[in-house]
Amino acid sequence: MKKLSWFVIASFVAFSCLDQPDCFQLNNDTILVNFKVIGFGSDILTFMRINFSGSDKIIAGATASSIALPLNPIDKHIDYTIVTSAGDSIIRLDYERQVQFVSSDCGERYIYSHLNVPESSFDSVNVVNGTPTTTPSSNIDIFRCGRTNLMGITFATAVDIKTVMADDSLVLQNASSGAATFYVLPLNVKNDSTSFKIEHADGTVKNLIVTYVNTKKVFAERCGVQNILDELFIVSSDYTTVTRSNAKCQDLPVSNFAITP
Amino acid sequence: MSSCLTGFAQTEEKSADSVKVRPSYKPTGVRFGTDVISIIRSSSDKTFDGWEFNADADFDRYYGTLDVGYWARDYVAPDGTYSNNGTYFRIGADANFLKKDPDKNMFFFGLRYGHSRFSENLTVIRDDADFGNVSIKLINSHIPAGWFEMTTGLKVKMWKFFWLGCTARLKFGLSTGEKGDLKPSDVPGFGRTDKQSVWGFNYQILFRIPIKKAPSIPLEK
Repeated sequence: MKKLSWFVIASFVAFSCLDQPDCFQLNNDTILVNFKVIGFGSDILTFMRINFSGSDKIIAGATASSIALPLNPIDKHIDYTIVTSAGDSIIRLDYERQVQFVSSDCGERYIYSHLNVPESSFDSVNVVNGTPTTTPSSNIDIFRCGRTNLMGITFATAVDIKTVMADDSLVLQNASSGAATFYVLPLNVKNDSTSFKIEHADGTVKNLIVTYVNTKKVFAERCGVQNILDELFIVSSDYTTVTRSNAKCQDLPVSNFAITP
Repeated sequence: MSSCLTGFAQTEEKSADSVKVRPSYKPTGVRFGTDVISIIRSSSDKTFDGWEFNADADFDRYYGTLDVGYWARDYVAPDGTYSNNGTYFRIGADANFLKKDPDKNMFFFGLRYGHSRFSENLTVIRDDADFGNVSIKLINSHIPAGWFEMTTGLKVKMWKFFWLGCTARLKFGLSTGEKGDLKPSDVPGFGRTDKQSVWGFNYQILFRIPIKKAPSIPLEK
């Protein structure tokens, strides 16, 4: 009888170990796509719509530097059309996909791996992690060629600018629907300086002359030779005070000068 | 596991009067048996059907073991069904740590290699929020699987030729030979595949057929 007792206890131990799987976050069916500017850093886009495999996701006005996209459980490839305020772009993804049954409660799970981008209309695409994770992490970086001649100016108080002429070319008209403190102005990449004529809504016209060191650089073959504008300096201004806050043009634009009107 | 150790203590007391014998590596008997857990689960668990036969033979304190079995699974999930079936065997050796027990009761540790050949199929029909109707039917047919096990347990003589045994097995190192899109979920003989290692238990009824009398030449008293 004593011998039998431990067999009975052992059977309880045996059955107690028949645990069930956890149904939480079984699938790695979502990828995270980051948008970046070649040679600079994160990009920020305003998304209007994303279309994939017959499905239309309206995300009008959503502004972000990355988006999460679902992978197709049926096929081993998926085409995305990403519509932003800058235009339409397409990207095709190939991948491996396995399906595994988990339990009666959880159903099946989808396991994706070997992400690859065979086709894209973006300037450059890089797969940073070909195996998605159950909690989305960066999988793909999408790059665009940067605009290297954008200068940002910040006014101490909001001003309403009507037009801006740069070296006698109109570069800004009715720039905003009202007063703003931050404006982005393009510098002339063909010269080492740019003369701005800024017409305010109240009729006043202010002159601003900016000089800079203009060098050429190839960030990526796709983007060709680009002008890097550095050491920005105000040589002449009609404004009360102009203080430099950042000497280099960047994309996304930063404030290079703080101006007191 | 504590219950198994209790049994060990009891059998050790009994072996206190035993004498050392010269090692003989010729088998003195063969045990045949079956796994009771498989039989009970087949009748009580609608998703499971299976059986397992066990055999071992002694070579002094070492035992060669062979397990042969079959199991089938049949699940119904909200979005589909899954079923599998296949056969398996395990082959390996145990070392008995009750060296002096005249009845050859066992508290053992051992190693096994397990191999299965099985088929499975998965059907999924569901509505996906992004992709609409998802209909998938996947099959793995007669694919192999292999794994390793570390085992421990007890085998105790109850009455004449009748023995009971329990074995706890830590299964690990699973490799499966699927080539398609269906990733195995459950391998006969191994179990669930979603963990690196899994525990298994057998609760065996065994019958020992003596082949020859155990050596009893006393070396010292």
